Amino acid sequence: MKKLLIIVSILLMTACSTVVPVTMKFPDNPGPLTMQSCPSLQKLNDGAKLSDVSKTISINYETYYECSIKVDGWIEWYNTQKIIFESVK
Amino acid sequence: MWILHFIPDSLIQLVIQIILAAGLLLTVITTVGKPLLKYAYPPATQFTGILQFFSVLILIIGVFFEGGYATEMEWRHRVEEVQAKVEAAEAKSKEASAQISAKVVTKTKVIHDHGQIVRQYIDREVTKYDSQCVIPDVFVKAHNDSAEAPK
Repeated sequence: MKKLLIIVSILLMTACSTVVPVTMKFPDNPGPLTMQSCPSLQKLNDGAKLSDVSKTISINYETYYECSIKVDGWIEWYNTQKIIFESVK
Repeated sequence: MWILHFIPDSLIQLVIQIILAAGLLLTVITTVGKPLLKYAYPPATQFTGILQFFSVLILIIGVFFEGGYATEMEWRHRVEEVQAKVEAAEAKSKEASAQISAKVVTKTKVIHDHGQIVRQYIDREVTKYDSQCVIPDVFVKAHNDSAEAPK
């Protein structure tokens, strides 16, 4: 009886399948620049001169374009990573 | 088949093949040799039933292990394949991220440099008209309200 139990136990244990987790590491972000949030736009001070207005507008445009590059970077990153991730299946 | 992970593959395969071969051989001997044994040594016939039973049992165990081993090997092979694919994808993903990062850095620098040029132009040219143009407070308010992020 004892021997039979040992044999049955081994057989049962042998039949157990092992689940081997194969996981993909979460992809790296597209650089430290893209991890910074977009800054607030600059405002004019009271009594601002024409050159101050021009400079502030220029800085704000620059801020917008820098931010749009980050967003475009993230969109490209997402699309690329999605293609790579789906190719693993 | 976690129990098999602790034993070398070659040893497992050898043991399984021995069990399978022994089971097969004993089953053939006890089945085919039964009538011969009857003539050669009649008292032995009383044990042939038990011998045959154990031979078949060994054969069944051998087949079971062989099947289990084959399945295990197939799974290991698949896992290795997927692992290789994942590693290749991870490398590709890292490269893609680095490329996008480089592109973002380059474009940001271009925009920054362009902004500098524009502001140098403002300092050089627009400042000439500072005294001629008075900016009304309503303009400043309209601008600042537009620049204010909605809450």
